[in-house]
Amino acid sequence: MKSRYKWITAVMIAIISMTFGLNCNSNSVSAKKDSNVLKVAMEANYQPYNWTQTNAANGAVPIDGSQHTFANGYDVKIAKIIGKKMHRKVVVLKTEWDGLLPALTSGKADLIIAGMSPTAERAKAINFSQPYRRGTFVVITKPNSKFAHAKKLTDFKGAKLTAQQGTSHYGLIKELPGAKRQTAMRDFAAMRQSLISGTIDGYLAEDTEAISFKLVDPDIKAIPISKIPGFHVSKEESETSIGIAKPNKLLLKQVNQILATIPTATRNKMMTAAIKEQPKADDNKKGQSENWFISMWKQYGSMLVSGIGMTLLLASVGTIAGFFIGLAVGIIRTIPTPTTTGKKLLLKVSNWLLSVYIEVFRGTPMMVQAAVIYYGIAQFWHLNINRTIAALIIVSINTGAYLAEIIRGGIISTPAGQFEAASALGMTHNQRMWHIILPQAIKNCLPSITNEFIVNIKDTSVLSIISVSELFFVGTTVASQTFKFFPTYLTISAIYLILTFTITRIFNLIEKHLQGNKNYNLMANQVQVGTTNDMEVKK
Amino acid sequence: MTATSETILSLRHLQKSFGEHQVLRDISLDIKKGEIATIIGPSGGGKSTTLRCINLLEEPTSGEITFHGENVLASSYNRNIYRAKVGMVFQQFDLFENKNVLANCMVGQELVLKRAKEEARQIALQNLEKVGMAQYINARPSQLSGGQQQRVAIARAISMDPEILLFDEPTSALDPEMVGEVLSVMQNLANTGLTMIIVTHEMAFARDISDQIFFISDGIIAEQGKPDQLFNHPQNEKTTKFLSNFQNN
Repeated sequence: MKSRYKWITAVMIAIISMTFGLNCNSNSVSAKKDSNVLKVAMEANYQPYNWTQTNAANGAVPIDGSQHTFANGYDVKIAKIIGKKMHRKVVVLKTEWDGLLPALTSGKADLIIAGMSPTAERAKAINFSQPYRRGTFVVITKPNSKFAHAKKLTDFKGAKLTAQQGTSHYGLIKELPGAKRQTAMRDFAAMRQSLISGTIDGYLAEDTEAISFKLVDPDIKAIPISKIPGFHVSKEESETSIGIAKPNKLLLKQVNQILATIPTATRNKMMTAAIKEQPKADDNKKGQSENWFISMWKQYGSMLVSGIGMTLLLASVGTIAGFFIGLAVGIIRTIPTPTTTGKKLLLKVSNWLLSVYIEVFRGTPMMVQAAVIYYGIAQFWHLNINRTIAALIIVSINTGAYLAEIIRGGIISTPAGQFEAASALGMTHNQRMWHIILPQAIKNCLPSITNEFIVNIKDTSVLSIISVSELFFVGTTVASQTFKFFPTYLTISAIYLILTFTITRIFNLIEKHLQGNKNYNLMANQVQVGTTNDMEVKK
Repeated sequence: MTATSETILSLRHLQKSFGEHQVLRDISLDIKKGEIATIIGPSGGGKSTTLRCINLLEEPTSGEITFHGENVLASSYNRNIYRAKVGMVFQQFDLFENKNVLANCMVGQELVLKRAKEEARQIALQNLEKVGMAQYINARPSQLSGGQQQRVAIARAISMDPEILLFDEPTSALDPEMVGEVLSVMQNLANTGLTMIIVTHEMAFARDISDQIFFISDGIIAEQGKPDQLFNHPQNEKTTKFLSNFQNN
């Protein structure tokens, strides 16, 4: 029943593709895919509908592209029923919320089962099944709050309330006259934290959130506002449906048929089970002796390590590949103007193209590039590239654009005299570049390259938009499951700092090594030569 | 000082302009094999530009350069081979900072003359020995004094076995106490019969070493002749005025 209305990116991509009539062959695309697998997109981060866990307990389903993580929750249970009836194996595609719609329209996923409400806006881009759950709304507050005994909608007058960012819940606060609507928050964990710390009086959410929260912290109060007369909520906002790509009418029919066979009692049972099974923040409180960090590491250590591995892989491959791209571009951009007209024109055109490349990739955020390239390629060319490979390509070309200018600067700043001296010896342009200029240019660029490497370690975190499970993505998952925001992100930032610090040191050593000794020690380098005759010239 | 009658390099009506500014207006000269020619003249008169045009570091605007009777400026002419035969020593030494002394003297031989590594090494060592820098073969340019760097630069140039060696104010960037060591190396080279064209402000040196002296001013050769004639009996007013600056010192 999560109904976010800010869909700008996703809806736009979907609408563009429909305008160009490219969706007409999506049927064939999905047909081409392995028909034994049912790919279900969800955040795996929205309890109790869906979450990530590190083992297969309680019938969890493996998450695509990861060995250590499994998804479970009400959505997964529904997906398994559908999969079973269709004789297809359910695989979960863990996808950021804003990436769900593109994942479906680009054919990367067969279904969205993600606690999503079938809003009219979304229905423009995709089809929705019959609802698989109907929910009610509550305001969650503290029992000692002066709003804890609200009976009427007007009783919330003056209450500082919030809801999840980008969801229709936030709009529903307007149904409570006089309530002071606070800035919307990113997720439930943040709202819980704010409620406990007293920065808000309460937040509006579904009943399931109240149940979940109570399991962690019994000291809260949920006021069921859906039941208060005068509270208006559209049906589409209180319902949760399965999203299916528009052209895939057959799948829609099958899903609806299967949903019809699941009675309400079974659904409620599954939801209760999901709420009980969901990872709890105080799982570790049972053993008070164990410190939080150790227990977190025990539970999520393998995830964090693979996150670190992915971050390092992206940053190092991206920097190295980006270096070679930058080198090639930098060299081409410093070729002196040739004499023949044909070559002159060719160089002019390629220089123009390269400056477009540099401007575009330096001038747009990597996050946007990632979304455009990853979803765009899938949508328009129906090429389903692996997201890790997509991420590597994106980091490489992005880094290449920056390093191209850095290397060009290094080439230009190498003393022109040495270039002339090499010319005077009769070296060709290539020989001058490779043997004289580039070794010095690269050495001089090394601090900037180190810098780019460090930037990459940190900035690959934006690739979580295409759900690459690098360190930040893993950190977010851990934080929202343990509800220990501060300690988790503190740990993550410490890991980032250790990574960048180590790399800085390594590169400093390399630089120092390349710099060499400032003074030449005759004694150490050569056999006995007196200082008096080293100035002597043979006559 | 073993000039023969064979002319190996000649410039004819050489002109060079940088934009609106015409630096060389009309330069014609002949260099004979084994000759030591010195170019003197006031700053900005076109001495260095003439030298740089000979090595094609500057493209002449018009005129002719012939080497062994062949037109160097023709598009079919192999300029890189020509440059290998016409070496150059620069005012700022311009050693390759990424290479040590020995490698500086080997790289041109290996890449341009395609000499084997060991052969290049032997030749480089011989020439470093000649300029008194043999004990510095592993040093980086930045570890050397100006005079030492210039001596290495000379060894680098002669390792290519050039037919002509051009010197572009080789001592101007040096501290006074280092000028002597470089001039002494040049004097020794002159004695080996190498053809040399030198741009310099060292008048005493020019007088002692040269077979022929060119006085270039305002982009033309204002006067030329044997050292004795030019220094003691200058015909041109400008030459007289220029030389008086040095004699007064």
